[in-house]
Amino acid sequence: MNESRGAILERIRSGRLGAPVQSRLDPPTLIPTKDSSSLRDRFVQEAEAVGAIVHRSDRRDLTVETVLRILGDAGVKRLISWEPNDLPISELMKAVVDDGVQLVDPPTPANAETLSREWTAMATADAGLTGAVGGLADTGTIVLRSGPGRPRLTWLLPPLHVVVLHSSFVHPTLSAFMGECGELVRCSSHVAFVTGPSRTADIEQTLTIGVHGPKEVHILLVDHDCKSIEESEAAQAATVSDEPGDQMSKHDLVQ
Amino acid sequence: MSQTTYSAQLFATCLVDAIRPAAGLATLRLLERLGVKVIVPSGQTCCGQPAFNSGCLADARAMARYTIDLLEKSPVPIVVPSGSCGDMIVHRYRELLADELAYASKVERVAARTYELSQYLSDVLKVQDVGARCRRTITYHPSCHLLRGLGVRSAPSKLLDSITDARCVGLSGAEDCCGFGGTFAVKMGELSSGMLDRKLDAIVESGADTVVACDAGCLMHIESGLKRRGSNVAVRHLAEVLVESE
Amino acid sequence: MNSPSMSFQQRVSHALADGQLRIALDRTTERFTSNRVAGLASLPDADAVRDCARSIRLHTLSKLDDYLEQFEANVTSVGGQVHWASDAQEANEIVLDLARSRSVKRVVKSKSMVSEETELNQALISGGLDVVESDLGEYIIQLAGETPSHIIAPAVHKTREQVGQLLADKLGVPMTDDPVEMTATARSALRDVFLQSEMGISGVNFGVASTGSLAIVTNEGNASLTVTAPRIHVAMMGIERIVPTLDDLAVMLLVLARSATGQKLTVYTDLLTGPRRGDPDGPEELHVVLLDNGRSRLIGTEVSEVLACIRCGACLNACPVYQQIGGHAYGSVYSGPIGAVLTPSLDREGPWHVLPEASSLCGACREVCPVRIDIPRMLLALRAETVHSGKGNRWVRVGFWLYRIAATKPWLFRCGVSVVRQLTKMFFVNGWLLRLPSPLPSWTRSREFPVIASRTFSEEMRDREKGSGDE
Repeated sequence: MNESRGAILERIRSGRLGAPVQSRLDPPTLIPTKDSSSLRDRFVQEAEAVGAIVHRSDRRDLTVETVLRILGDAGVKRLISWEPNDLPISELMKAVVDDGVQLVDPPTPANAETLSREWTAMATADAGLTGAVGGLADTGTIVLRSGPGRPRLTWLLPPLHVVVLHSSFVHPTLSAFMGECGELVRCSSHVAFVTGPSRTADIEQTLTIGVHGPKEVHILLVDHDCKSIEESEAAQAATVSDEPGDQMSKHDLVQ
Repeated sequence: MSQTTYSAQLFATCLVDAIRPAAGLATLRLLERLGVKVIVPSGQTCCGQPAFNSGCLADARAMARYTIDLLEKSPVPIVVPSGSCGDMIVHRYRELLADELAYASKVERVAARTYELSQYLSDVLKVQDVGARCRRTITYHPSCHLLRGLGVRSAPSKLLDSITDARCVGLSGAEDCCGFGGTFAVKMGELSSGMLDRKLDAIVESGADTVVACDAGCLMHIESGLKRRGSNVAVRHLAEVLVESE
Repeated sequence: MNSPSMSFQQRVSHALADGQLRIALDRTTERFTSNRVAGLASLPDADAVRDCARSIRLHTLSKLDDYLEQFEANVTSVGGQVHWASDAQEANEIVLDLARSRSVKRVVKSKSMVSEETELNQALISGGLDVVESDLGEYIIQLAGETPSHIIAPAVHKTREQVGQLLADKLGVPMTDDPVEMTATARSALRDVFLQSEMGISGVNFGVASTGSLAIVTNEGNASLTVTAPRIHVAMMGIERIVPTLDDLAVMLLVLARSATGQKLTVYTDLLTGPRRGDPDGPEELHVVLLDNGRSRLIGTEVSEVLACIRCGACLNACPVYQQIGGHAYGSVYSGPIGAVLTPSLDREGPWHVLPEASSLCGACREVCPVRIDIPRMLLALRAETVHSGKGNRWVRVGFWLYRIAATKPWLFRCGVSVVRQLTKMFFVNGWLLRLPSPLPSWTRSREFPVIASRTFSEEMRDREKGSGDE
């Protein structure tokens, strides 16, 4: 391995010998609007264009009610959810359970044998409930990050994905998100940018929805107070940096 | 036109010389009619593009040097009635002769004053209507090197649109290659024929009685395909229809 | 199905005679092409974005060694492991060793052109592992025992009727020509594969040097599942697939999906930074295999720009040659215009010098390339190399040598034109030649050949001069 490493790097170095480093152009500014209400409208428009269903709410109780209605309409009996503190509205999970929906236990880091059994159980869930750390207006994308209490399979396995996004988290573009929230990428092992339901066009370019991931994505774009959000983000950041394997927040990255 | 006297040298190209002299003569007549004093440098042969495209760089270089020496003698603009040869002189000579210091400035001077015909008409003479008149239904095939090499997209169509009594019709898949590509047409005969077939279908479908292009290679290719099909669609160089006045 | 033993010309003839292939290619390349145009139109300033994307790729390549070291350091700092492979065999051995040492039996894969390049599947299967492709297109061709024919749409050469028949034959489901039903069949068949595999192997669209992140994009979500459910994630990437920062990544993602499918962003764009850290799921181990396989040798050469490619497939869809014959006729993993440059560049000893000839140099590929790679220029460079190394057709070389002698001596040129005119008159039929002497029959099979004009332009000019002298 080391031998190949040295040889590869050496070949590159001798190839670029004497050639100048080429400069990068500044990316053009592509932000159509910075006004927050039109940003939200744009998000809704783009998300709907890619097949997501957007529900807007400006009251916590309305948000809870809407989630219950979505789950009820879809006949959801079994749900995977992120931990209450990892959801923008911590009372959401309790409300769902009170409504008679059964919670599938999230997997726990365990050995391989039990893990695959647990995931098979997860695969029987009818819906997944998560909270987004961002939205991208120009593409209708939601941004999700993994972490303790936030299993990734929640947004991948069930046929229905319900995600709560606070409207203040909507960024104009992916570039804007990276500029402001790049740190989230550094401190999460998985950040997913999800744009509509799973789809394929591998058979004659014919669009088909729900090939491996969810067939339906419901986004609750909420304007109301989500105090628990900052708390849970702060709590999570603290947990992440305590992880023994994670040295990022302790050491500067090699530049 | 203004009072300025225009002069130009005409580089006819080898295919026009040997296969389609009518296009060269029409170019000459058209330019003279527009008041341009035209020199036709004697001893002109081939720009070297066929050899260049086949990877025979030493041969291409020899032809490039020869052509540059020929065209460099006069300081007036060079008009080429062929998009691919124009592109060769304007863009490819630079890479081809990159290592020959003696030619560096000559290449730049020649490249800077070389124009494909429609480019010369629209950019230098600034004419869009040359006063042509003919009863034809015309469809235009934009040849690849004119379009993507020299970036000439609209000049030929505008000139054609201005012809009195002529009707211009669209060509589906207009920007698709006719499949000529020089030696490609022979080395990859089947692929080339397949591309030509699509082009000919589109020409016939357009309902035009005349197909016009600005490259002797494409014209030769399209014409030879139409002949084989027994079609009576006429094939003309842009200059040939622009000098008509019946 | 084309056999590798056939010559390129034979594979072309074979492809051209395949009516089903023509139907499938017509249905898809057209749709790709119009989607791409619409996709780029949704950018306020597509040209400026493409210029910027190009500059990012060329900048990265101009100090690739530095960025690779930075990438490696950052992958390691977040708990991943980087393996360097000089060639295909070494890459496959690395993956096989990882699987063996961790008692892996089942492997699920998401699409990876690099793994096609190294023929990883065959290596793993001969090593006794179960390997299942999870991208729908790849799954289809794996069932059919074929190879991909398009960078982003591996089964583009199959009609829906052919796919329906294949699923019926292999999985015992009822025959259908409805893509929705076929997709549902694949979903249920692949569910257990995701959940029971111990190792997930993915490709990588971009590796981010400043964070050690891997960006992987899919529409199906199959890569997301591949890198989440199994215990071990192995990511295969070419050494050129680096971008310096997350900001650069954001620019590249602006053009990738738009050029590939016309979408603004793929459905799933996953950024993976190390293995799980206290998360309930995600891989416990992350291994990145960096494959060279001929790439490093291209830096500083005339074809180094080919390494800027982001594998969107736009040049395939735009190419009039690809549109006719599809990917398999090229006989190599990478097809279309980019494949005609990449394949002979990566594998200098292989029988690939014919591929750069399979282009009319129309430039449609350069026009659609999101990072403006000058593919025709590189095709020309490869043709020149073939001639230079003596591998090309001798008659072409001799022919151009003679032509050059004539073309640099005007009197000889005129004589040559007259001689050819006399010769062709012997075959003269109504102004056009019906048959040509060898080696030109491939022209006359479908086209007449024009004869030399009875009076050339230069002859006319000489007469004109004489005439004006008389006046």
